[in-house]
Amino acid sequence: MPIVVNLDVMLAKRKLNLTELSLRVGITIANMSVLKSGKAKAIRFSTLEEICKVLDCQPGDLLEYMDEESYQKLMG
Amino acid sequence: MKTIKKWGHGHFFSSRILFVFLIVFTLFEAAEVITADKKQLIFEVALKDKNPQIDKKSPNATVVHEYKFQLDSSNWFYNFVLENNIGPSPLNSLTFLIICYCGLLVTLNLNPSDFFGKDVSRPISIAALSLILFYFIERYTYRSFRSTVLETTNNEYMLVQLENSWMLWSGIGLAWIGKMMKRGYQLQKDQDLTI
Repeated sequence: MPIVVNLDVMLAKRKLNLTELSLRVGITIANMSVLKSGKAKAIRFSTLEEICKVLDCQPGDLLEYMDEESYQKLMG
Repeated sequence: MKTIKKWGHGHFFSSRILFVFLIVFTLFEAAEVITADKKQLIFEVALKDKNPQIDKKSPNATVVHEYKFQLDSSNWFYNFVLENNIGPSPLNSLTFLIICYCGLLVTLNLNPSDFFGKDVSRPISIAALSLILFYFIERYTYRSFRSTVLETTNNEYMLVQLENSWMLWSGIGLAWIGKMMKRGYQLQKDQDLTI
């Protein structure tokens, strides 16, 4: 699925780590890791809302559409 | 090793025991059939023209006669596919073994608290396919003896149609269940990966 989750970029910008974010958002670190690695199939609006609230950003800052070729290149 | 560890744990323990018993029983039965010396193919036949199969004893009671036609055969394929006077055909035993083994695999992987957690559609589909294949192979091999029965009995007896359509319907039912299990597994996977 050529939707890339730029969670690591936003975490670096906000100087937060995944554990801290998962604690503040209220979801498990395992699920947060799935989201960060791009293995997630879908994201609930409620989760997106919480992450945007904690990271003080817009959904568009976290999610990015890529064409299939660029996505395959990125994912190796 | 993982499978052996799972053996005694969890649900469906009695089902596993039943499947193992059926596998062992079928193996012994198949060995007896394969090693038997005097084997004859067995067919159900009926009188062609007259109808003395039904013997009316009173207005509300009849005696129905059944006729069996036994035939020596040196053809390995017929001996493999068709029922004989010793017991079920080796193909019948093989199909039953495949179904029992698939059933055993399903009970080892199925967890009632996480029903679609593992993909068990493959063994179910294999069991379904083997039932459907057996139905067609047995039916058409059996039917190929129609003329043999007529010729050997001088047109006196005819072959009675084989009643194995339950296999086809069971196979179709199992294939449908397998498809449902696969869809369920995919939906569960999607659900688990929804954050």
